Amino acid sequence: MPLRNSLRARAVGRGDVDPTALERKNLDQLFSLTYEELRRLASSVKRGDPSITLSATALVNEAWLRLAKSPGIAFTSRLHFKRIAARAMRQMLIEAARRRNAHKRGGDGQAIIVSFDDSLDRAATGTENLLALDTALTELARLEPRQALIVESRFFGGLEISEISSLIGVSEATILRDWRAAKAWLGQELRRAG
Amino acid sequence: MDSARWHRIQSSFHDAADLPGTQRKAFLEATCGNDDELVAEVLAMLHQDASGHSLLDRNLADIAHETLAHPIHASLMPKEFGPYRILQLLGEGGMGVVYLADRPDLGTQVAVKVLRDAWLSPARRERFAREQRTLAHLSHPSVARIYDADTLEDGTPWFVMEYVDGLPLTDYCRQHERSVEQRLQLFRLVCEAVQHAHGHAIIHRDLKPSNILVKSDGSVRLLDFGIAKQLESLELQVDQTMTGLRLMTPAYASPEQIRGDRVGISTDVYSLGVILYELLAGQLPFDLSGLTPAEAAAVITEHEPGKPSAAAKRTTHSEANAHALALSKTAWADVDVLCLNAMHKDPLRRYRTVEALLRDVDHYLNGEPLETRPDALLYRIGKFVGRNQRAVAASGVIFAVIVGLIAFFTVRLERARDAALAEAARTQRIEQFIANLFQGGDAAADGVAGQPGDVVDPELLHDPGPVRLDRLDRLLDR
Repeated sequence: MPLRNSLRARAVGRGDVDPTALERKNLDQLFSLTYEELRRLASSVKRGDPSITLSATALVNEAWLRLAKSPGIAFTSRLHFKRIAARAMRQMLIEAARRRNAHKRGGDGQAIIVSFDDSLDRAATGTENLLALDTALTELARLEPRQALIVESRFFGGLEISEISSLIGVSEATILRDWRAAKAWLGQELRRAG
Repeated sequence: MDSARWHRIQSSFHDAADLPGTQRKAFLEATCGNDDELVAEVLAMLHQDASGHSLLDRNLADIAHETLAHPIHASLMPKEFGPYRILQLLGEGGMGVVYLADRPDLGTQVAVKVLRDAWLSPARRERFAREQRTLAHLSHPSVARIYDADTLEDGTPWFVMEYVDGLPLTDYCRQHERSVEQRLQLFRLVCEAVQHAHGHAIIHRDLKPSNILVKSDGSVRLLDFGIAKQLESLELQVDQTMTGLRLMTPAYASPEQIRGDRVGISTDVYSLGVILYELLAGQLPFDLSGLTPAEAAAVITEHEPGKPSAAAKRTTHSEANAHALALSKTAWADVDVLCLNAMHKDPLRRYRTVEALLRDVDHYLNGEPLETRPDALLYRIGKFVGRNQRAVAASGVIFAVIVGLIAFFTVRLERARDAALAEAARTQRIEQFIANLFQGGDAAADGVAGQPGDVVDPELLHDPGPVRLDRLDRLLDR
């Protein structure tokens, strides 16, 4: 599987997946899917329904189950898929946060879909935090691509330490160390931004 | 900051983190020289490390909720889509939002469907556009019509369709206490609409009562072709099917949809079967409430639904019970066959077309025998074996072992019995011989029992003689 290997090499080397056309298509599929899942998730949180506890892990696992048979994804390993899903999740949330911020600043000519829901500015800080996290993660990717990949996989994709370990071929102890330092630094960056 | 600096920070961080809290500051000041900035950075990180309150410690679900929940003020919403003025929100689906709107110059009310978060992905925009095209292809009194379509400045697509002021099929039947026959008449209308779509090579794939509205005049409208698909493009777009699956309602989804196999006309036939079941039995064939998606999938793909007749008896709805009582036993038998054939696990054994299903509904309404038959016993046995291959194989082996053991022991017992009988006969013969010996005469030797009371020949006692011994030998050998 040369494509997978090259992607993996690139992912590790630059902390970034540079999608080929096929990957882009898969990513797009994933986007739709994660979006629908997140929507479902968002509305279950809204309803305060405790029976639905969808973590990022569950979300990505379910996405894999749904997509595993589709062409273009079938050849991808489950781990690699989860890695891409984590990336899709990050991009989607960041894009959504960006748009929300634009709306808040009163950009005009934008389509705004109203859900007639008045829980207005409660979430503003969460959104800004998310944007700050994205910036800090990009900076981290410049400093140490491996750490950015670990954070992205773990936080946005819910990957286990053991999974990240076999994905990038580094011991679990090292990943835990990397995660701890990265998390402390990112937390500090978020505090600075906020 | 550069990578070298970052690695320096990290190594100080890890070294200090291993120490007790009180010693950290001193340690850092000792090891970092005059680099106050480094000390401050590491101390701040250590503080973060201990607090556990950063964004990264939060549940992604909460963050997703906050980010996607659209807490945007109503005053910012566009009040107009082209010539249509928004009146109120009608509903939100996975794909988009539907508003009630009017067109002041014509005085008509319409429904405006808007794709939510169109920026998100081309796949979503494509699916939305496909629904538009699908509706444009269909022209049937029982299919909601599309009137207009356009795009907002920012690329958000929207389209205008017939506003249907009605109730979902099941709610309508319950509220208006429709009889079985009236329910079947409504069901016929739904089937005709679906058949019309099939005639245009369109599979709905998401048939359910909430997508079938009944207006106050008793006409029905089939809505939401959001995940419908063109038949000819099926083979090319398995991935689309998968995405569609995620969006559909499991309660009415066919086993092949759940498994992610190819879907076809029979998929809609299955969903129609479930709807008919619910209409007549007053409850869904499977109770999926409280199940995880995986459990629900297992139920739909593996469990056989109970008969609608039995389900109707269990239903607590007094109204449904009235129907249960209203139908004769033979009528229920036909209803059972109708529903269960439409809902067959194997798509090939369902009604081949909606038309075939319709024919049987008509046969039922006219009191004629149905065309379809319940599964033959042999088929059911075959399915049972197929479903329970392991169990059947194991039972087979156990059965064979038991039969083998029984046969083995029977043969052994028989042999033992024969041996015992032979032994008994031998003993008897010897006893006789001895008896005869004492009774004298050649009777014993000749096989004829001596007469009781015969006088023993003393000579014999003293000298049995070689001849008699010889006979005894022969007797024993016999």
